[in-house]
Amino acid sequence: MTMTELELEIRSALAEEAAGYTVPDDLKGRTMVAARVRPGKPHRLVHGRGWVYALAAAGALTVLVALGTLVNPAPSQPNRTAAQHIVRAPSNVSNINGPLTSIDTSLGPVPAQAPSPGKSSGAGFQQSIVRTASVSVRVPKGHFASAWSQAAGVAGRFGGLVSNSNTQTANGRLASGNLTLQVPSTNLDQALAALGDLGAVSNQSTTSLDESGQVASDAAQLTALQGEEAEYLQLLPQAKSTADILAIEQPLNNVTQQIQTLQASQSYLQNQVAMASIQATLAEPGTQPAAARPGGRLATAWHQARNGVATVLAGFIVAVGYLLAPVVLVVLAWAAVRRLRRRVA
Amino acid sequence: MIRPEDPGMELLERWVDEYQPRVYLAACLILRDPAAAEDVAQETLVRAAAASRKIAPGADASRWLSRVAVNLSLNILRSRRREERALARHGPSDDVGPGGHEEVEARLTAATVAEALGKLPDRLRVPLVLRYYLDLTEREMAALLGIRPGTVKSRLHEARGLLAMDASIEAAHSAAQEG
Repeated sequence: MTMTELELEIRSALAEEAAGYTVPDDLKGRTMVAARVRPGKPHRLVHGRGWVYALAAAGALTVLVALGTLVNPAPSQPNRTAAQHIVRAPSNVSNINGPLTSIDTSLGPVPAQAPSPGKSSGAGFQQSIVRTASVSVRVPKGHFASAWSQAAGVAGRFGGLVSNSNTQTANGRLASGNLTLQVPSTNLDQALAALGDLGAVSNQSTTSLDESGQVASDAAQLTALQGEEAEYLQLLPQAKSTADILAIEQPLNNVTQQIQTLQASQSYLQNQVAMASIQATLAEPGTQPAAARPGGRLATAWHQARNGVATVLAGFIVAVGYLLAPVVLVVLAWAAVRRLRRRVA
Repeated sequence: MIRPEDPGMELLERWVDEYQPRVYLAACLILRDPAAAEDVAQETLVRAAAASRKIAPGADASRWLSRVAVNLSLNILRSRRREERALARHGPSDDVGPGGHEEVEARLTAATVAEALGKLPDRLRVPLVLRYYLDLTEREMAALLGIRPGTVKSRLHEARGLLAMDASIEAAHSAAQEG
């Protein structure tokens, strides 16, 4: 048998073997359903183990970015979980320093033109303002206990609550303390005034953080996801096999999970908008709250050492962050070159 | 995700009609497992639809789909080989029983070309399917199989040699029987 005859024979044998198989009737239908509910797996950019390196690099990059955000939060994207404790480049801040006998209303906590939280500012746009404030009050000597009790009562009086408090003693009696109050945002100004009435205000600041953009973005995303969820739910009855059902259920579950996460985030933000947070410090003259009180030399040294370690770690993370991009590029280039060499070989 | 009104669906439907049977049969020939071939045929078209924008206008979709299908089939073959190796290491003994090897040899000597094709190991059978069923070039085969073009040639040569030998033995056997 010559080579050409053999090749013809092989072609014929393969065609004959192929003819022995029957294309399933439902294959087309199943393929069309699968294409509707499931995106195809993207082709791998890097073959072999390259994708493992790429994934590892992406993961490391994400972790570093997250760490970097924690170490040095960006002003334009405030950490919402701590929004009530952080004052950073606010859009609307008034700050009063130095001994005052009463609050200077001309530099009041929130200017009259400041938008009210959660109120519409026309054209149907709902503004979402997270308001926070801090106030330090010097109470007359020997009157801390009664002032403290009244300060705690301010929260209840204005429809709020005390979420955190601590006190410090001086010479065997209570002389200073900090407390965090949550009051309805609409009552923030009255609550601050009531706290100021307990003594002399030495420091006061208020912050209004506009979260309208985030709220609008979340709402738009939620609407899109709910639309997608509805589409999946419409496709579900068309599924003809277990594989089809699984192919629909997986993305459906993902979408549902994202919807729930967004709804939880919305609820949290709404709560922050509805309730303003006040950090209040009460202290008798000559005392300072523990948080601000400087410790002894050992405590100071300890704090400095701790700060030093944190600074070195932060520097290390920054250095790794700078190095990461070139390292990833080198790894990808190496993988590409290796692949090319294999091809050429 | 492709939506029902997406123009990509029309393209997909056309491709399914035109190319899926051939893709399915090629996968059957490579895998010799219709169920696995169905998975390959479905996955190939779904991936093709998702990545249809990557195909240059006027490019031969048939060859592109064939390459995707062959890649998927080869992945299944590799996975099978790994499982077989794991079974050989940790599983029960692969003793074929008394006379097992002799039985295989006996079948081979009596094989036709078609039968001999079925007995070839994957490393020789797959190149034959790619060359003589899918009409891929040696360069394309080398890229798909991850081997050098020279190795493709030598495997094709080896496979054809085995088949020719089997066919000759069969011819001699038939002649002896007739004589």
